Amino acid sequence: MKRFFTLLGTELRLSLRSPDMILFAILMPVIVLVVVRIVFGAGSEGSGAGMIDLTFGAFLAIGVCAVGLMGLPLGLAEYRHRKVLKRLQVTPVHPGLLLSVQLIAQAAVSIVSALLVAATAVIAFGVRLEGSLVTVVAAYLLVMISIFAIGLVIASTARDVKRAGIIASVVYFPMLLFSGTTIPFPVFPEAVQRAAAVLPLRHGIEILNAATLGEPLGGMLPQIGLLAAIAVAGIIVSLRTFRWDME
Amino acid sequence: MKNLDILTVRGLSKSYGQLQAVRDVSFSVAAGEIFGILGPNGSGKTTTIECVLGTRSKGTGEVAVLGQDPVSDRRNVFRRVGVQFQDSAWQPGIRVGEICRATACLYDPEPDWRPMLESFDLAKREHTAVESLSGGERQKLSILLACIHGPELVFLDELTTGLDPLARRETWGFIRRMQENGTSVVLTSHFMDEVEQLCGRAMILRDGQKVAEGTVAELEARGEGKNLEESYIRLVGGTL
Repeated sequence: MKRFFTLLGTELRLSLRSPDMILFAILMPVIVLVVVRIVFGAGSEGSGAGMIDLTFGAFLAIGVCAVGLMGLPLGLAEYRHRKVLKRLQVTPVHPGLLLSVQLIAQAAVSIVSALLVAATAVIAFGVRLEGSLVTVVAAYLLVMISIFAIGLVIASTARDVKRAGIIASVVYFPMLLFSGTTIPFPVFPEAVQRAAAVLPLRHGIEILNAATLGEPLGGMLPQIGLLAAIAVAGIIVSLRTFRWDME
Repeated sequence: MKNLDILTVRGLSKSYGQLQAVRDVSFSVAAGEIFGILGPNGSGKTTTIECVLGTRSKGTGEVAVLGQDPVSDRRNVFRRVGVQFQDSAWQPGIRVGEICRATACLYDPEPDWRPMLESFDLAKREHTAVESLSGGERQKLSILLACIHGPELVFLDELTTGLDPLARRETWGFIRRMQENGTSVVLTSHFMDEVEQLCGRAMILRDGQKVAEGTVAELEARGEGKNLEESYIRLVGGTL
């Protein structure tokens, strides 16, 4: 355990020292929140549930995506490219330890992003959380782990840093644009909304929205099961296909 | 009674596409020995070391490091083996003390790296970013990291390339002290004075094949030169 925390501490210090990813993952969701709030306004036809409430889960998901689909795979691909992993290959370290350190270090960035979004929504815009905090946190962690697992698979299977960048972008941008993160989902035509069902994050945002609005999650078991399955499968695949070097 | 050979390599071959990088190379290293691998650039020194370590897949041949397979027994082997690669790799932005701590924590029991930092004259650099070190300091750091856990066997690829004469002598002293403490060493080098100073035995590679093996005196005799350097140049096909 001490080993895990030593490595985690090193990773966290390193990520504080290269702040571009942090800005990308932490500031962008807050900016999008503010912009969407200004452009789309607070409410729709006095229904009580404003647009901002409907998409609150989406704002949380922006940070998850930036960290899980860009920061995590690109960071690992760079370590492989720079032969940092090759140096670790000739030590007794277990690949699972390295991957979990990366996972937790990036989760920390993602969680800071979520807290900042939540604080901005509550303090600046008076958004109230309708659902239980425990449910929201659980939903958030489920979405985060499943998206991170996809990022780990990209990290393990991409042959080099260039390809990791391409694959990450191909997964990241559609997920970001069409899951209802930056652009509120109700804006899309119905066909696009239906097609978006292939994006795991779409289901994640539905779960997050339901959790933040205090709606019962019983009807969402298929979505919850899907994300849990993605999380488990992704972690297994990334461990099985883990490569130290780009031979 | 344990096998005294700490490393055995039999019939190692490796090719990259059409290029046969290593061809049927066999050698063994006895406990407590410093063994040199010499040869011109591209002769297969690094490929040999990497195939032995399992960081490159070997084509054919048998490798036993401390009696174990470095691929299937990776974690057990590298608890007792240290490696310094020719092109050492660092996380961007990491500092000297941080990489020492992060490397030391991988071993049981966790080694105390501060005295080593002192002995390599790097203590004042503890809070310096690795990329801000001089080439020689980085080289010393990568040797330190390879030896941080007091390995029984250590691989050093181009041990003193980039070091100034003083730092080379210091590094030789460090290697000798490790040997006195029972560590075996496999090193590659382009410097014949280094080989004369350190190696009990060495082998010379040329185009991926072993052309000679023996003590410094034996290699000198094989090449019929006035000294090791002359013999080496003859053995690898050069002209004096």
